[in-house]
Amino acid sequence: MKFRLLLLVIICCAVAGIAPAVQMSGEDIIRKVDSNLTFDSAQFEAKMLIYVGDEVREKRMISYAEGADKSFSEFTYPARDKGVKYLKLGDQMWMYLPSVEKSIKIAGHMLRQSMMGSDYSYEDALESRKLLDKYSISLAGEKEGNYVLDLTAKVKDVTYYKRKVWVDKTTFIPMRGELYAKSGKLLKVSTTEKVEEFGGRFYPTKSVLRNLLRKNSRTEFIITSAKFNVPIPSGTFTERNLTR
Amino acid sequence: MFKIALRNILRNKRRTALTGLSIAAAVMIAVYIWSFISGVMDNMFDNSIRLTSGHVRILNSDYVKREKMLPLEANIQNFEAVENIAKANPNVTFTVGRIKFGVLLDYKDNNKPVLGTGIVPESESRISHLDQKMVKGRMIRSGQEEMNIGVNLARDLGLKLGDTLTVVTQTAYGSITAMNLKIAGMFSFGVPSIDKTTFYIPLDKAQELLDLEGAVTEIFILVKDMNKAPEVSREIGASLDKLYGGEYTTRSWQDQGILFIYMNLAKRVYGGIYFLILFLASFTILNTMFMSVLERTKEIGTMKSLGMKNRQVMGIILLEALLIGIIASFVGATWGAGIAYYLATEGLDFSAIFDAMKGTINLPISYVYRALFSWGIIFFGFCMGIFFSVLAAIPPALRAAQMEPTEALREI
Repeated sequence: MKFRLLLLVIICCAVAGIAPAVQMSGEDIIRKVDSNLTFDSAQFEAKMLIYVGDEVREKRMISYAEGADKSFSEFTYPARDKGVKYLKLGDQMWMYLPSVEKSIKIAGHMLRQSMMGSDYSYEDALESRKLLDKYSISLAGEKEGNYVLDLTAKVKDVTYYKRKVWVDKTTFIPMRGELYAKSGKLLKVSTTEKVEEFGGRFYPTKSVLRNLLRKNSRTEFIITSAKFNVPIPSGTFTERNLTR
Repeated sequence: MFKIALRNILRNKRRTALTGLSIAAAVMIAVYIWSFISGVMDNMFDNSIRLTSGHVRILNSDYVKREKMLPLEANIQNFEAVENIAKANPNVTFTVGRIKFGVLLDYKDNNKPVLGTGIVPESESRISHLDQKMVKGRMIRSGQEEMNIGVNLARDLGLKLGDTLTVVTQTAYGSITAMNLKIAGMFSFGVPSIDKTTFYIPLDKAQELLDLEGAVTEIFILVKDMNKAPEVSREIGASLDKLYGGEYTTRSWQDQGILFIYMNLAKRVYGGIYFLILFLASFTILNTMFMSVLERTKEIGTMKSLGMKNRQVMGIILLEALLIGIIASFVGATWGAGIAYYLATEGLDFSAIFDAMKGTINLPISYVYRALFSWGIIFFGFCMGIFFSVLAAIPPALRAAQMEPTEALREI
């Protein structure tokens, strides 16, 4: 009995002593988030609900992804956007427009424009996994089961000079993000509203982004079905696939 | 007395001719310069009304605030209902919907901002006279994926008739959208700011391209009397407010922002220049008249010593001035009218200068400056010549009349 109590005390002490040592740094947390969200391969069916004022526009798409750098999406709904395809390779992006049977590279000024009329910009879709390269990250604290991280740009050419990210301590899913301009003005707010478990790993299936520069606007991104680590046909992530 | 005056004029032919000639020259310059300035100003107003502002336009109230950015999301949704309200106004003679949208065209590794306008081709003959401005090919037709492009823009982009241009832009909801448009024809309004930056496509295709089914960005209205446009604009605005509560705004050509202010400013500057010319011309007349009376002091002294009364002396001198004034002004006005007529029909071609300036001027001025040939201006110039001739003769006439005959005879 005495021995057990001693053991408990030792364990407690050990935990208390070790805990600060395993305290993760901000960068560790972001790394963990990245690895958590990155799969060898993934296939999604998703829809975007774009709310502007009283209006809602729905867009549906099928997406394929490999690692963090490659993705391919094709819109299936509405009729107007059917057949519009996006290809992302690293930090480059192409778009295919079926109405003119042409693909265009999205670069320069276009990157900051709205993607399919949503609150997301093309840049938002591209740079999400480059945080470690572009920002110095510090752990600002913990709040309601989340790590709160402060990100400040260390390179010049970024749209959002500062970010605040809330990361769930158990699932390592970013639950809330705030994007700021250099002036300190809050530009966009993203929230994760639903997280689902897929084979022991967690993935956000409903997120909402509000672009505060647009009046009364928000975009819900909802994954309606997801398959992870499934084989993806070779040639999916090529420019040729855009025009096919 | 008239006989004496006439005889006096005819006696010294050289002096009369010289005086007359300078008056005539002054009147001529005043007439043709004014014709020319009026022509340029009218052309600018006319272009601006026919091509951009109309007499009255209906716009979304949000659009008005950011018109330069061509915000498609601030459009007129209930296009036909709104148009019918405008049509119900008895002073409105013509209405048509338009969509203006910005496009960035790839051009020599640069983005060239270009203005696209969705038009109803059939109605353009009533407003911009696009049908008469076609220099190659034909006008676009509704329902066809084709465009009419400014000749200079086509040349800059290296496009030929029958080529297909892919236009990539954003819809009213922010999606990227594109359409292949065949060049059916090229136009030249002779206005650099339009010919270098504009293309037209059928309105229905613009609606399709920009996801604006049944909507337009502006309703273009012509009224019976363009000077009453502000009133008509207010009337239509009031009826729209009743139904849509401030969603739409009406603007008459007089209150369409910077262009109008610009043109008013230009008008004032030209007005100033004209006044200067008028002043110089009148001064010339004044000077010549004064000299010619002064020269004849001795003659006046003789007349007085022969028993002519002061009033009669003055009367004769003024009558002489009037006669010379009428004849010289008539000659001057005729010459001025001749030059004005030439400038009105032939015009001055400034294409080379505009080309050299490479579109730095964005006012809707034509390449070819034409004068306005108006009998009003000519008649005014004629009257002005007479008025100043007589006016200029008053001080020397007064002086002569008051002179003692002995003194007058002694002078010079």
